[in-house]
Amino acid sequence: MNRRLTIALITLLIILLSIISFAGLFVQNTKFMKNLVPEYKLGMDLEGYRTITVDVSDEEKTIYYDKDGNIVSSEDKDGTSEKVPVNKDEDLTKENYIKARDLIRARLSDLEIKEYLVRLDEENGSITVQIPEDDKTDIASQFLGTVGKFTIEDAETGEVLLDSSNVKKAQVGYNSLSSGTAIYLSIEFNKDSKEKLREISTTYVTTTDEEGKEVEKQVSLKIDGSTMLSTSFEDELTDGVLPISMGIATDNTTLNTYKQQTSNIAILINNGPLPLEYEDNQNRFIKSDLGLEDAIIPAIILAVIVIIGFIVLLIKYKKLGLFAIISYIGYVAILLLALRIFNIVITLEGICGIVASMILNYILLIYLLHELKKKDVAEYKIAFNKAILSVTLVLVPILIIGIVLCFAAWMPAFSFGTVVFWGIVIMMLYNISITKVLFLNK
Amino acid sequence: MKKIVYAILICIIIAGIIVISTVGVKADIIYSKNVEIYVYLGKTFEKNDIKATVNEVFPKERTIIQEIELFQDMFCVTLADTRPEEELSSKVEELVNKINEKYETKLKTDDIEIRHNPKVNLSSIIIPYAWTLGISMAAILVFVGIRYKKLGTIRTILTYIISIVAVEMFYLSILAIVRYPINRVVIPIGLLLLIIVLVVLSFTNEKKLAKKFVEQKRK
Repeated sequence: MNRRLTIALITLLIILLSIISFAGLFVQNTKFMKNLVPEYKLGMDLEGYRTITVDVSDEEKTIYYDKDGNIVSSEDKDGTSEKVPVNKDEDLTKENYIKARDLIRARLSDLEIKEYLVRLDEENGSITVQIPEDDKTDIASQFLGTVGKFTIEDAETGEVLLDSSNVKKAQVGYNSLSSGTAIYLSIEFNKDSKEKLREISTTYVTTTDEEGKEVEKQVSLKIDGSTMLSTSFEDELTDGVLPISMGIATDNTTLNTYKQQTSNIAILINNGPLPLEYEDNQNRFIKSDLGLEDAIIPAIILAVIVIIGFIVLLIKYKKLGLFAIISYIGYVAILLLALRIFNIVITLEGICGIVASMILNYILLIYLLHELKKKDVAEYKIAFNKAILSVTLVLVPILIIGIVLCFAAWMPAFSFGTVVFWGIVIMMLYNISITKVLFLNK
Repeated sequence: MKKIVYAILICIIIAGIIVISTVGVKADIIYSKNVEIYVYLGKTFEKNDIKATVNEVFPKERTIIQEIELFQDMFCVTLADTRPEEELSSKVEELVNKINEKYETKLKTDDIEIRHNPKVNLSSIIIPYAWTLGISMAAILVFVGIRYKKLGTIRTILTYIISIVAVEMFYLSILAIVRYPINRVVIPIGLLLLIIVLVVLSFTNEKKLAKKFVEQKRK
């Protein structure tokens, strides 16, 4: 193909990609124009967050006694009652406040909330949490004030047989049945409690009395006093694992709902109960203070630096420099487009990742031009490949950071990692395919 | 010249360590003990107008204005929690009066919600990076140790460790000495510096390796 035609076609392609990336790709959708390019997915620092505050409860609860002084669940006709604070004075300690904060952090982490900020008022135990606004926010906000005390009780007497302290691990289990997929909450008890569970599974069973009537002795599984399930056992549990059926799903939506519910209970059980009772204080969405107006000055500074970089390329490398500028604009356009298409969450760290990718691509272009300048046009291909290989080796450490941070559970680190990873991958592929053609057709 | 630069760098790092270990770093109001003043205006507003009004009441003070919920009729002013309660109350009253004047509203001081927030433990925003960056560093050191074997594995690894630690310490020391508040851009810039140091080191080593290769070929 004619060299000029090749260059013209590539330049047109870059212009087209740049328009799509920087301006968008609009189509008529009923009355309005719709941009086919997805919006940037922004992180908590750029979009806003939900701020939730829970205070240590100062409420009182009523305890009912029967005429013999035994605690009963409801008011007894001949009995008495007394009001006691839900949190005892001796429990209102700094240690318990810190324990509650750490438990809340652990719950948020288990809920896979990838970014949060937790503030603890060590004087009154008040905890304020900032979390991103997404589909997990409401569940997370429920989790903050929930004590999460898990108990297995005698359904009749209310005697606590086992509780969270006896649990080693709770997890979600599945079983494929002909009627659908059964979801289980599998609670594994610790070594010391296995025997107790075995005893319970042989005691709380359905038996037949002397008159031939079926007598069922049940246990109740409760969280914060609310009964999740009352059941008796059919088999002896010898392995220390209590499987609780949470439902049978025949479609994906139901399966996901059951899975989520079961997983939430498992998170509460695994982390143990909060040492104190909390009550909601505030729960509101707060928009980020960083708006477009805050981005203007950094954007102008960046643009000035890029323009100076372009002038240097033009003065130093003339025609090749011009091709490098065209290539550079195309790279930035493709990178920004890729971030939106791949739904990568952009945080301030992510923006730094974009800046890092831009710097690296500029260094790569300068290095390529420097190496090509020393050679004849006939040797360009070999020199280009050699230079690309050298730069690739230089970029390996950065790529390692990108890959490792892609597995980070912390959103800002994840955002930086994914942006840097895609920035380098796109940089290599783009320069080998587009920049190379531009330079070799000089 | 090189020695003088190194000496200055070491002095700055030592000074930074002393400042951090004695006075500590200064945190921005988003991480430090702060006061949030929630104002329900009941009508839409321009953030810049609110900012201007807030600046009149709290001149020369760093404040953050944020919109609350999605109806654009409520905002929150965040500022450092340094005032006694009485002074803060009178300032809030002044703010309410100015807002009423500007927006023709009938807000009362009692309508304003004031929240005192405790500081954020700065380690809680740094620790999440520790594991992943630690693993990355270990993998990078293994790679450079193998790649630049001819330049001396131990020497190369030590150069990388010392350079990275020195640059990040220098950055942190400067922030501590000039009392620049630790805000949301401090960590991203630290990451950017890390990338730049790694690129510079790798380019230098690649050059040295190429030179060594040429020398060996000549022999």
